[in-house]
Amino acid sequence: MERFCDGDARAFDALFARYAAPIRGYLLRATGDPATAEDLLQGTFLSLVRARGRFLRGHFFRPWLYAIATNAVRDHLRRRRPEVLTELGELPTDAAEPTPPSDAGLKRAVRDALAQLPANQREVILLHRFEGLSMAEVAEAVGASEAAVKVRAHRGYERLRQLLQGVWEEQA
Amino acid sequence: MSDPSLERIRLKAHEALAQEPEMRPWWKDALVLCSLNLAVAAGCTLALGRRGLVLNEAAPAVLIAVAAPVVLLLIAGAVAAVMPGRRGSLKLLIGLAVLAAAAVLFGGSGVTDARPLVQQGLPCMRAELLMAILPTLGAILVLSRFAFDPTRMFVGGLAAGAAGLFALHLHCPIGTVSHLALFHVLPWVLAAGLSVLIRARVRSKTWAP
Repeated sequence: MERFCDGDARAFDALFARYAAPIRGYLLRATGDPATAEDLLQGTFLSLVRARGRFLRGHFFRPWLYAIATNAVRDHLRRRRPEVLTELGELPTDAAEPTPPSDAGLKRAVRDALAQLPANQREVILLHRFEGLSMAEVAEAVGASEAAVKVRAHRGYERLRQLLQGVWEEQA
Repeated sequence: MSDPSLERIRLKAHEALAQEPEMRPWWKDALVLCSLNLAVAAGCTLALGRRGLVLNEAAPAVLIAVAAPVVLLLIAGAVAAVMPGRRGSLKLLIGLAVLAAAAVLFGGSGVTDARPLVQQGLPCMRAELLMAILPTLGAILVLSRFAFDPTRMFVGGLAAGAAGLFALHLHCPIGTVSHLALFHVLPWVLAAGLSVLIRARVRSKTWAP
């Protein structure tokens, strides 16, 4: 990162090769729309280039990059129109994931349950459970204290458990 | 890279890197905002003080005790608003703003004015809001280069408005608590709150924290 801060394009390529795909996965899970995730991915890496002077040397790079991506999602959610539900009161289904999974029903149920969580709980769960960030890294990425992030995660997982209770019973 | 969409994004990032080979350190933004706030505070103090720089009749020690947290906020608030990381400093700065407000309110000279409250206060409110325009616009412009953060913007707005609060503190001869609360402190806080609403509508140039 320090070489990239000094304008080294090869250092940027190394960071891009390592993080572009995971960040795209995170953005896709957070927005549910491949085209939006693509736009936000581009914005995330352009932000990384243009605002690299804000990176504090000696800090970890991964939480900082996820903080940019999280801000991209927040900005997108703040500006977009409210989600229009289908006639059955469900979320639109056009936001399919790129690879058809074998347990598509379960994945869809998890995605819909995640979509029902408050944004601050959803982003914590996505970063912790799906991206594998530690709670300290999640705290840095979302700009909150570690204690606050743990509370959000606890509430979020509790709510997810309630929302997915029927699905677990069906699977069992 | 085999994925064409990732390759397109990588090339765009390279173009951006070629356009900006030199990074801009965050402290340059802090320097810009500090200079702007100080210049507006000095300029407004001189402009208002044509008939005497200090018309506040409070004791000199009280004048300084009130001015100190306001000036500190004007400088430290501008730095904290743009400093990456360290969100604790933003909370500290809000604490300093509460201290500055309390100092302004309770460090008044107590001198009253014969005119009705609104009539004596409107010129102060108008002057304070006018003096807040330039530094607040500067803070919005600088902070729109990063991700929207209401707390950062509020602190930046309080620091920007402190320029006018300082000038008015020296210039205004009325020192009652009601006058200071309604026409010095309230417009200052309102201008900072308004800056958050305006910033929320301005598109961020980057999403960096």
